Amino acid sequence: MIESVLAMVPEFIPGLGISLLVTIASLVLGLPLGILLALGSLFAARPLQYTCIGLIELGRGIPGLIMLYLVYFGLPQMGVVMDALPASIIALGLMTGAYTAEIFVAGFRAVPQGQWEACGTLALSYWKSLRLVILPQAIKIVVPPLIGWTIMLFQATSLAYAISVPELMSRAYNYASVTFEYALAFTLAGLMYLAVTLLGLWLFRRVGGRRRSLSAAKVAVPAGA
Amino acid sequence: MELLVLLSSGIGQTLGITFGALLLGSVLAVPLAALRRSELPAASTAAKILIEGIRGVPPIVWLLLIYFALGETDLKLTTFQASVIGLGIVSTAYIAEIYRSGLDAIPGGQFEAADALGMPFGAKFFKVITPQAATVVIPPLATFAIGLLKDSALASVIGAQDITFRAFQEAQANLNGLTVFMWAALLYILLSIPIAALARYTGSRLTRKVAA
Amino acid sequence: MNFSVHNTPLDTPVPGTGSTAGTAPILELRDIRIEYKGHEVVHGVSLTVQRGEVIALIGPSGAGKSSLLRSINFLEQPSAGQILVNGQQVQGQAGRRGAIARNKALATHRRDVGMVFQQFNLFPHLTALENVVLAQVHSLGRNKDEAVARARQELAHVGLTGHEDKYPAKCSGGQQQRIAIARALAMDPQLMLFDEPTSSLDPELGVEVLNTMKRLASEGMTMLVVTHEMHFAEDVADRVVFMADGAVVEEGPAEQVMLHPASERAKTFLSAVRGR
Repeated sequence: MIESVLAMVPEFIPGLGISLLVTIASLVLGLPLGILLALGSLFAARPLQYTCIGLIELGRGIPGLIMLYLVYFGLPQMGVVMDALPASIIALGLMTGAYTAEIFVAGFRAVPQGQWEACGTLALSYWKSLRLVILPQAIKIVVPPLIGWTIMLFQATSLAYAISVPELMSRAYNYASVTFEYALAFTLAGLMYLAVTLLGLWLFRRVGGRRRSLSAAKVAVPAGA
Repeated sequence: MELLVLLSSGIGQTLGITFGALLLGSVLAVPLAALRRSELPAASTAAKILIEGIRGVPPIVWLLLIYFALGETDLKLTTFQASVIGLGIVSTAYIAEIYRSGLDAIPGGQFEAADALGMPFGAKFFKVITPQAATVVIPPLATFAIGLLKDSALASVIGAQDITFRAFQEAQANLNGLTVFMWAALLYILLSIPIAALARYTGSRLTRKVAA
Repeated sequence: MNFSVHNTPLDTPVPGTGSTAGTAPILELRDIRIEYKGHEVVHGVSLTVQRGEVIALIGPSGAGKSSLLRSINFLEQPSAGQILVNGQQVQGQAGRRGAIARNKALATHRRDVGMVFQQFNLFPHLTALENVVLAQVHSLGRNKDEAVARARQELAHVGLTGHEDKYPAKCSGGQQQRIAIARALAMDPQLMLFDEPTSSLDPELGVEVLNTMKRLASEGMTMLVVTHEMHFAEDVADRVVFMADGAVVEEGPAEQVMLHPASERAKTFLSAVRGR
C-alpha cells in the first residue's frame, strides 16, 4: 500500500497545483467583482442597487455545479467556446463575486454608525471618511471571512472534475480508473484537500478569527458552495 | 415547457437525496454533538477531529469515495444510496456543529435550574433544553439545508438521476446548455424558497413560544 | 433669563452671564422640532447661547435632550425651526442617516462646532495622536507638522502626554473620552457640544473627564452639555435647562434651577436623582 501511495503522490501533486491555480485565479477575478457588487448594493442609485442585490442572490442561489455547466456548456450556445480550465475559473470567479460581495456588505455594515457621525462632525468629506476611516476598519472585519471563503473556494475547485479540468480530483479518478485503487486514490486526494484546508484554517486563526473552528471560518459562507 | 417537464422528473431524486442526507445527518449528529460537548477531553477532541476531518474534504470526494470505494467491496450501492450516505456524512459534521452552538447558546443556569428542580434527564432534555435549543438551531439548519439542496447536484456526477443529471443529458444531446442550465438553476432556487419560508415560520413560532 | 421662546431680533441686546450686549449670540435655536420615525420627539424648542457660557441640559431619559443637541450639528435633521450661529442661519443638509455633510455650509458649521459623543467614537485603527491629527489635515487642510504639534498640545491639555502612540483599545474609557475632547478641540471650535460624555464611564473615570470639562469651562470655552451629572450642572454650568417630554420645562441660572426649581416636574426629577 505504501508503494501505491508513493506512486500516486507525484501524479497527484500537479493536480493539487491546478486546484490552487484555479483557487487563486478565481479570487483575482472574483474579489474585484465582489467589491463592485457590494458597493453597488450599498450605495448605488435604486435600479442599479436592486440589480446588484439580485445578482448577489442569484450567484449564491445557483448550485456551483450548475454555474460551472452554464459557463462550460451554456456559453457555447451563444458562440462563446472555451477550454475547461478558463471555464472553471470564470464560474468559480462569478461565485466568488457573489459570496464575497455579501462579506463586504457585512463588513461595511459592521462599522458602527458612530464612526460616520464622528467623521461628519469633524467635517470630513464622504470619500475621505470612506477612505480614511470606514474602509480600513471594514477591511479588518472582512479578512477572516474572506479567508473562510478561500477555504471553501479551494474545496469547490473539486467541482471542476465534472468538466475534466486536470485538477486533484480528476487526477485521482484517472489514476484509479487504471489501477482500480479507488479507495486509496480518493482517500489520498481527500487527505490532500484536508491538509490544505487545515493550513488555511491555521492562517484564519492567525489573523484573528474570533471563534476558533472551521464553522467560524465558514460562518459567513453557508455550506453548499 | 417541455424542458421544464423533463427537468422536473429529476426533482424526486434531488429532494430524496437532500432530505435523505439531512435526515441521516440530523440523527447521526446527535451523538457526535454530545461527544463534542463531553467533559472528557479525549472524547471531545476525537469528535472535533472527526468533524473537522469530514468538513476538510470536499463533498464530491466523499461521494466518489463512497460510490467507487464501496463498489470495490461486495456492498453494491445504488447511486441514490451512495449519494445519501456521502452527503449524509458531510451533513453529520456540519449539523453536529449547529447542534453544539445551539446547546452552547443555552445559559448554564437552565441546566442547573432543571437539576435543582430534580427533573429526570429525559424531562430536562426534552422539556427544558430542546425547545430553547430549537429556536437557535432551526435558522442555521435551514441555511444548511438550502446549501445541501445545492450540493445534491453533485450526485449527478456519480450518475444519480436528479435535476442536474437530466439537464446534463439534455444539454449533451441538443447542445442547448444555456437554456437548459438556466432552467435548472431556476428550479433549484424555486425549491429552496419553501425551505427558507418554512424555517422563518417555525423559527418565529418557536421564538414566540419561548418568549411567551 | 436669556432663554427666549419666540424669535429674538438679532440685534436685541441679551442680558446674561458674560455676554457682550449688542452682538449676536454664538448660537441660537429657534423653534426646533425633531421627528423620529413619524413621531415628534422635540416640540419646538428655542434656546440662546452666549459666548463663553456653559449650559447644562438635564432631564429624564427620553426628554429629547440628546436629539436637540445632535440637531445643532444636523446629526438629526430638524423637521422645522432655525439654527443660527453668530446671527447667521445655517443651511444644513446632511447625507445618509445624518452623518456626512452634503453642502459646504454644513461642513463649515461643523468645523466651528466640536462634538463629544457618549460612546467616544474614536477611530479604533488610529493612535491617539493620529485621531487628533486626521481631521486637522483632511478637513481643515493644515499641514502635517503643524497638525501633529497641535495634536500633542491638545493631548497635553487634556492630561494625556505620554499616551500619544496608544491605540484607543489600550486606553481606559476616561482616557478615550479625553482623546475625543482633544480631537474636537484641535479643530478650533467656537462651541463644544457634549452628549452625555460620562454616561458610559465608571464613576471614577467620569471624574477625569468632568475635570477636563471643568477646566475648559474655566478657560472660557462655550459649552452645551447633556448630562446626568447633577454636580457638574450645579458647580460648573452657568445656566441649566431642564427638559421633559420634548420641551423645555424650566431654565435659568444653575443655582436657581438646581436648588430652587419652580416646576413640579423639575422638583420630582431632581429629588429622584438626588435620592439615589
